Amino acid sequence: MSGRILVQASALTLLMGCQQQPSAPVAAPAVTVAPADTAMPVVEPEASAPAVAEAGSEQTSPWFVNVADKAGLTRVLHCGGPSKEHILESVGSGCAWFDFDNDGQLDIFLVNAWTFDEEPRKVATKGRNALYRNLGDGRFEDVSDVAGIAGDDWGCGVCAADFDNDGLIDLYVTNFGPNRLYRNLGGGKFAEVSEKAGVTTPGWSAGAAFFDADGDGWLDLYVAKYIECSFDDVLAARRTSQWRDKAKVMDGPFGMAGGRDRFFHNNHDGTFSDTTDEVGMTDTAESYGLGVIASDLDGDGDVDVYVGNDSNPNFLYRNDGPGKFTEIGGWCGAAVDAGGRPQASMGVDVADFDGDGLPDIVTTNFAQDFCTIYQNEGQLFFTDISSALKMKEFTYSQVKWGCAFLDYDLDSRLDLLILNGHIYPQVNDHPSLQESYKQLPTLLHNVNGKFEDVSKRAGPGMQIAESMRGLAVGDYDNDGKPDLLITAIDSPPLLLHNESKTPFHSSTVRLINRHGSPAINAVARLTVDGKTLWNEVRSGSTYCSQSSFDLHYGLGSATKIDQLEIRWPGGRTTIELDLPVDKLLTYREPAAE
Amino acid sequence: MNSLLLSIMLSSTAIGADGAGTSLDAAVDAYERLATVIIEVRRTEDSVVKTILVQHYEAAQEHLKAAQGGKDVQKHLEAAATEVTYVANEGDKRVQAIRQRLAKAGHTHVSDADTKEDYLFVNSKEKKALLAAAKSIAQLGDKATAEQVGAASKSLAETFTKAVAAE
Repeated sequence: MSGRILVQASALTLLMGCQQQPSAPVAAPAVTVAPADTAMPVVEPEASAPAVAEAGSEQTSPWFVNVADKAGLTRVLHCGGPSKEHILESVGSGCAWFDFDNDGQLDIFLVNAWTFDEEPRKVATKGRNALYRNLGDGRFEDVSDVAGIAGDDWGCGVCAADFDNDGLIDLYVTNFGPNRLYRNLGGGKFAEVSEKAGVTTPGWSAGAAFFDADGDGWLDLYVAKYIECSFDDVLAARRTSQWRDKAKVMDGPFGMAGGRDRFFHNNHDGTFSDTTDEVGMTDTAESYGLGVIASDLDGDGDVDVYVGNDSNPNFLYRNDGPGKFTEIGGWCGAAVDAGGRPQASMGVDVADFDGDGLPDIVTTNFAQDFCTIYQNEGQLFFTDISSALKMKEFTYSQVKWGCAFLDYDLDSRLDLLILNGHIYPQVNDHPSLQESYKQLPTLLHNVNGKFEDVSKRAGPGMQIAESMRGLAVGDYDNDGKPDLLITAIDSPPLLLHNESKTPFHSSTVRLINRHGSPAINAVARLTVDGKTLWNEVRSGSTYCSQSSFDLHYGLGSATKIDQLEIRWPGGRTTIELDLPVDKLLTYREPAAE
Repeated sequence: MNSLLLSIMLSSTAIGADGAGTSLDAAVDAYERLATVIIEVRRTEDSVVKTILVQHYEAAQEHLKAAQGGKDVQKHLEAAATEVTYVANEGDKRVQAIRQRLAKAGHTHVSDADTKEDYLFVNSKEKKALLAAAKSIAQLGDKATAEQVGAASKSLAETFTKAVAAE
């Protein structure tokens, strides 16, 4: 799809961050001494990040500190009983960074589930979702009740977007049970409109994403469905399977009936229609859908959909335009690993990891298996390059969930964060398995296209073992470095503040559509020092979560941005030249002619 | 086979669910006939799955033949690639769902169905080769020559013959 190229003077469309946020333009990345975090360290860390060897060199020091408690994030996120008899009790729930009150600060949404009593198994507590408002000083205020968004369903995932084009970001929460669509009314209030909107889709839903499938300017919705079962099945479940011939553990998903993913077309009037079959997304495989990512993987201007399926081949729905899809995962190289094996995919992320201008895919998988990176060859063909990247060495033993490409040290190369956590608490009873229920996250530093595991020296936040699930990336304190919001089973969330030492610069690009809301699937290519960095605004990401809509770029030692090219949904293009670094750059989609 | 199944069902009805009022000889006799049915069902399953594979293979070859005609080349190549993928996966997505149903009922074909493909014919090496064939067929693109497509067809025939051969 070709778009008109608009070369515009910076002053016309560049709204410096300070117009939106009193605290912006963003300060240059600070080199600070990190205070020790004593919240839940497993390994006693150094008190602060080691100094950077030499300013301007490629040596940086990763350093993450859990500040959740200090920030006021205390809501415990439940997921069933302690012994995890049914697979529903293993999947956890997601989280989101989004600015619900349009004050320029990232707020937090947490999805919650329930607890069970054992013997007899019955519901003990119905956990409530939580909305935390960013107070701008490192603290968050629980405004769930005031906002009318504290549902007490058995929650799974969340994605955000402005589905009704009123300039306010809405939330879609997936559940075991009817899903909820929370329409943002403004003034810090939400209304639950899923029934009227026609997107309740009962059953067990997991990942979801809003995207404009047919280019009509309205966001449609894809929802992955995991397993078909009743709540009676959940309560009656007893562990009958064996894990590695040692531990008696929950059953599934193998041997369970899978759910059928759904696609909802936006009717432009606050309602949606289920047009799954009409658009070519009929899920006859009844695969166990979990992670969903909607991205323009072939750069043709329309949005494709990639679905991570547990224990089954993943789906790649090519958008044949306008809004008709063909599932090509089987022959495009991105459905199974290099050996032809379907994996137990859970989290997914997409980014141009290798800097060739084409977005690549990462999936997280179960234990005794590795994370898979599919390199985009163009024309929607992919190659599994996990072996060359030593992903087996880094990720084989853990059960892997949320994942994200991010440039934590601003060196202009995308690193990879993977969250881990077992689903079987019983592995703790069998030391010979050399596994644990609570696991450490994995942080892989990108060194010239190869990964290096820097987890152990990445600060106290990375030494916290939990059974982690959801991951959302966002710079909540506007210091130019991406921070991490993490959910863990039966635990409060973690907020890992990025205090990495780096001499490098960054840029944050905020793309706003004509309605005043995030321009979903707008793509921004930023060129510095002859290198082009690709990024895309997306709804839904990693595992059942929502990362910030702002696009973050590490710029290395570049002191100016040579070019920023924005491709808006619909194909129009904006090009800006000679932009400053270490700023929040906000652009609004040009008006239609 | 259907009449045999019916006979077994009648016999089972006579025995009763809890076996009460049935002699040992009658029960053993019923079990003997049930074993015959189970073995026959397994053979039939082999035959059905092989038929599915052959159908997908023949459909793939039909599309390759059509692609050699020079019209809608990319469309036919992608359709052929899809059919080859179904051979690699021992059936399309509907069959995948059927396999999940069978697995739920405890009917599997490999000893470690949790970690291995529960296939009857295609082993992992053959699957890998078939998936590679599918990708390379799709990658031929709309400028593919009849010779290139013909070579892909011949290569597919060899791979398929190996995959469905008795092992």
